[in-house]
Amino acid sequence: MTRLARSLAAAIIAVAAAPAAAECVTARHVVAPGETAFSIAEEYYGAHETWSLIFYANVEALSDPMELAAGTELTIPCPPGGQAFTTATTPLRPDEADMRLLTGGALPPFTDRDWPVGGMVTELVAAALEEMPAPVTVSLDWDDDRSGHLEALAVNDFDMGFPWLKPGCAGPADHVQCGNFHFSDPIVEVVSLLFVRDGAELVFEADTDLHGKTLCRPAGVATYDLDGEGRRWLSAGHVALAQPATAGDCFDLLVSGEVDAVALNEFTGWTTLAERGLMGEVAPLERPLGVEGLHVIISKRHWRGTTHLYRINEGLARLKESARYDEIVSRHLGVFWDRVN
Amino acid sequence: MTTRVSAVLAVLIALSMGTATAAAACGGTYTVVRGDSLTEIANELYDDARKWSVIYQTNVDRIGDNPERITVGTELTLTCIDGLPVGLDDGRGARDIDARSALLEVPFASPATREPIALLTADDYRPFTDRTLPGGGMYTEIVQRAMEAAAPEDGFAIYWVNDWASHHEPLLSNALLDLGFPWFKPDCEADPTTYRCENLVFSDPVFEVLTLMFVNTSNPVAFTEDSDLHGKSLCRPEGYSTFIFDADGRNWLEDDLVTVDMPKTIEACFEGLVARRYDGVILNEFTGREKINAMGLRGQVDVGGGRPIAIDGLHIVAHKAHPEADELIALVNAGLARIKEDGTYQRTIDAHMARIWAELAGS
Repeated sequence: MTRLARSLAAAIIAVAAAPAAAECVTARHVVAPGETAFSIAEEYYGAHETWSLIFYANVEALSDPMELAAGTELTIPCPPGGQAFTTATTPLRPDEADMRLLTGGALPPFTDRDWPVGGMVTELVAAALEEMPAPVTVSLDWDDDRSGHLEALAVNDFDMGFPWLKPGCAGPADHVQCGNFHFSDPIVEVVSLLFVRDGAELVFEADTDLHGKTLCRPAGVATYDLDGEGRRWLSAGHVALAQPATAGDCFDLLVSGEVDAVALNEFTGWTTLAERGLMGEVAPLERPLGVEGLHVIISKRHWRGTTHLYRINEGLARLKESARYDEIVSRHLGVFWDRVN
Repeated sequence: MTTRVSAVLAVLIALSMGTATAAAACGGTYTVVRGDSLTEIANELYDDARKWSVIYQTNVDRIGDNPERITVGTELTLTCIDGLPVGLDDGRGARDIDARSALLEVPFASPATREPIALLTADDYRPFTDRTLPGGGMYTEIVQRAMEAAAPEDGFAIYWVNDWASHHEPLLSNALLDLGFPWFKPDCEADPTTYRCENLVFSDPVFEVLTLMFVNTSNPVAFTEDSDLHGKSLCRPEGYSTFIFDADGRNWLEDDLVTVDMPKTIEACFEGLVARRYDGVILNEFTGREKINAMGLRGQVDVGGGRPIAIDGLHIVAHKAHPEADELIALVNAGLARIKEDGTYQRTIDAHMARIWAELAGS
């Protein structure tokens, strides 16, 4: 299996050489036989590791980022970076509103106080709620220590929280969150990747390929995707998991050979790689670990549980029908690739 | 507080409704004696051994985890169900009256007499108001707690009149009773001329629900835009709100775009749906789902596709014809604010919602 981004220097030059944002018009591309997200990203951006830009712009058409059926018509967003960051979203402030939202920072590019508009998910939630039926007033509070969020939401100190990964809620051994919270439709769906040492001979074609391996994921990040859909890596003991405090610690363990791969959403992965100066030493496998949604949640015991859930879901559906949803996502992804590079 | 009842109007209405009999006080406290079991108490006092579970649910804090072990001397609260039990010492709980007896149950007042605030609701609106539920249902218990917190100096009492259609007119409009619950509030800024906006004063919302269309699974009608239901036949029980059919320029009833039948019971609506006489039954999500389970209609009846019909808050109301309507609503709001502040509101909702979701998931 090939690796992404063997040399990031090439990618940086390629992105920098892309047409200036002001000249860019979103392109349409019909998939030809044999094309992949990587080859299309290479063609348009000159940098195949930005392939997920194409995935996020076409998430309705693509159930699997790896499966591009020939003939599928794709939207190719402008190359990342360089665009002026403008937003028309009503900013949310902490206040006593009818709908009090709680989020936590330090999750760039999703929710982060230092990110423009507080992050991609923050802006999408605010924009979706501008479209809600039976409108109510909305406020947003930040608490970067997310360990107390579920309790605060359970006792309705706040009405709704985000962003949350959703555990599998179908089986009899439901996660406790399934019984206690309603989950909104996904605000965004995020690609998770396996980051490995350059030159490592790790193969990931099927779930069983990782049996006997050791993965790393920072403590406090949910592991639903490692056990879902028959994978059962953790519950059946097929795969060992190291859970140090931070994503940076995971990459230290990877570099020192103590774990075989770091399993992270691509944004946290790339950000941490860039921060640690590990570009070129570590890269993700092409085949993603999976795609997970980030949701808004509300307690099932809230007096407006189902009605607030409907407000966010309907607002989100209306937002997705407009061009604004894609515009917000691509604008934040542009900031992200700018910062990583 | 001054008199709440207009004596002249009350007499007129009482005469027009014919004779009525006073209902006996009902419900109260029972002290467990040696040899008692919940089934025996239920059999004796409710004339129905199966109602042991009602006693248990109402008194679970005093009985504990095991309903088969009750301790001599324990005081059990027995709620009033269908006029039973009678003759207990402490009958200050909810009293049972039917629509005909309601008129004499509330004594005529004069400026010299002061009467407890009379609140009005009805059964079979699960999970909100129903005397077979703990606390008389989630909404009843919230009202009970809010009124306790408001502590009106003349006291209060909850009355059950199982005819929703009589509540606004004549019972509240003639101040025969003071406050009614739970009622949806229309958007009075958009539609100020609906009956409820012109005639009722609303409390702060206590709970908010989605109103859904339930459909026959063999006739899966979906609602995405207003015109989807033009020409359809809908059912909604008698006494329930109809403003939702005309709200937001929908005008389904005003312009005869939709037929709405309003039989006496929720059951009649679902029976008509199964028989394909109706295309949809319009009910709030919780009442609808509980009734589908109770009637064993899972699989035959489901929520229709598309969007909810409405989002509605459930309120306590007074009639504008009541001379103290605004003061009564201010009192209720003060009580609600107090129980929201001290956590009673959330604890009460928690206990009921836990049971509701467990029942909806488990059956």
